[in-house]
This record gives sequence, structure tokens and C-alpha cells, in this order.
Amino acid sequence: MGVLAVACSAPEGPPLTISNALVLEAPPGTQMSVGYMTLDNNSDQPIVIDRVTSPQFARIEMHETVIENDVARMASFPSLVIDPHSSVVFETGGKHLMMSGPVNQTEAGLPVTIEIHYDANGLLIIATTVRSREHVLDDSR
Amino acid sequence: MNQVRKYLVIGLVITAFAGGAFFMILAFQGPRGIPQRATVLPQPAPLPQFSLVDQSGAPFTRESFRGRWSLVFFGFTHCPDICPATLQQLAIARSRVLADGENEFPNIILISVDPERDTPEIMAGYVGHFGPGVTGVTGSLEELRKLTTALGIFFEKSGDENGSYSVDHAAVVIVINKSAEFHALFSAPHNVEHFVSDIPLITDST
Repeated sequence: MGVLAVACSAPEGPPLTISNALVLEAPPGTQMSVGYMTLDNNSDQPIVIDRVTSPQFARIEMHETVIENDVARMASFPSLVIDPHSSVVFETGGKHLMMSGPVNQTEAGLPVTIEIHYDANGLLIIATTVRSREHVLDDSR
Repeated sequence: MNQVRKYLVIGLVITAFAGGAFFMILAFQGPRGIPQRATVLPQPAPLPQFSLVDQSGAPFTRESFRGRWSLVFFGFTHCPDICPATLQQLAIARSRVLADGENEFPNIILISVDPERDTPEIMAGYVGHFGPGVTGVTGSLEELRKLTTALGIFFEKSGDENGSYSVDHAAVVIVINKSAEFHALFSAPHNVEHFVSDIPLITDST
């Protein structure tokens, strides 16, 4: 998987980096994709993720699936604080990007760009590709 | 004589270690033939009568469960994370169990807890994404509640300030046996290995 990450507000090196970014294809009829990633705050200060956007989606929200007593509830959070030298993982069954209103069909293999807006004027751009769930969720691979 | 005693002691120590290791492995793996992740009901519970429809619009009732094991997940198509993930995990488990030589795998059934948006047409496109052997079921809330109440399945609409809504719902996978009885369940979080290891043990147990 090719991932290109560009930090646009980092004079002495990127305070925020991203790894394992992936967007899964939307099942037919739903227009609802999901994104996962790991965000690393490499700086000595907290970083606030303000919002996430993409040219390929009308709307992206940061959500978290919380499972308590075998009940799954989905909660949105408008912003996210990453502590200094800490990581936040977006993964299946936890925090995730809910990506709705695709501009075009989100088939596996197509390029997608994710824009992470942080600390009011910071921007981290990730270029990746849409992937199929089958390859990502098979924990035997 | 001392030499004999020395070898005897060494032999006893080795035997003790080997025996201990054997019992530790048994304790770690658990007895063979018993599901390790699923909870099997001591007494299967018959399903109530209900009337829903599948993705082709055909009736889906209690009788639809008869004659074949089923794995039922209650979810909805606008759910971005756990619903498609669980269906995909079940679909992968299906492929692996069949590849391992089992003759059949239970039907995988998604029953919508969002019938307002999940029409049979929407369900048809959605479940088709997860390969063969996946059925989509929807219908009226009244009929849906007949089934969810009997199974202890929670679901509740949850709106937001933008006017859109989600549905909080049970995350378990319910196992229904060939006699249309609630037989077992898998608690979340799910993974493929849990399904692959336990489903053949459950379906072969009766």
C-alpha cells in the first residue's frame, strides 16, 4: 500500500505523523466507507485534531464504537487531543473515520486522500487507496 | 549404587517436568471438542413466531431457520464499522471452514435494526457484497421486536444534531440450530479465529 504523508506546518520536522492509514470500500447501496489509521504526536506539546476532510467524500466524522455489555454504541467526537509523544489508533471496533457522501464510487484500488486538520492551522495530507475488507479483516493473514 | 540413584532422580525430575508441561498445555487449550469462545445455552430456546422478509422480498419467518444452522447478526447498512466488519469476518470464516473440509457452514444472516432505511432492495446490494451464503432480512419494527425480545437483543435509535441517526444495537452473533432454536452466542469483540474454531464444534455437537 502506498501512503504519502505531508505535514504542511512543521518547520523543524513533522509533529504529527500517520501510519497504517486505510480506507475500506463501501458495501453497495450504503455510500458509507470507514477509515482507520494510527496518529503519532512526535512533539512535546498536545496536538488537537480539529477535523478530517477528503476531496473524495462530502463528510468525514471521527467516531468511536464503544461495546459495553455486548451492546455497540457509536459516538462522534468533534475533536481529538493526542498527548505529547503518544499515539491514537483508529481501528475496527474502536475509533474510526466515518466517511459518507462519496464523490465517486469507492471501489478497492481507487486513490483516496485524507486531510487531517490540527492545531487550528496544521494540515497533514495522506494519499492512500481504497481497500477491500476481505484482505484487511482476515486476522490469519 | 549412587550412580543408579542419580539417574533415578534425574528421570523423576524429567518426568515431573514433562507431566507438568502436559497438564499446563491441556489447561491452556481446554478440553477438545468444547467451544472456547461461544456460549452454548444449557437448553436451546425455541424462537417465537415472527414475519419478516428477506432481500428478495420473500417471507422470512421462524420456519426459515429450520433445516440448517444459522449465524444471526443484528445490524444495519448505514453502520460503518462493526456491522460490515462482523459480516466480513463471518464470510472469511465460512471460506476457511469450507476449505478445511467441512461439508457446510451455517447461513449468515443480517437482520436489520434499521428497517426505516433498510429496504429489501438495499439489503440485497449490501449482503451480496459479502459473498454467497449471506441473507439480509428486514421488515416492520413490530415483527422485528417479536424476535429481538425473545433473543434479548437490544437496539435503539440514536439521533444527532445534524438530523442523521445511528442505531445502538447488540453486537453478539446468535447461533440458531436446525430446529429454529436459540442455541449459542458469540460475544464481541469478534475475530475470524473464534468463528473458525468454535462453529464446527457447535454444529457437530448435535
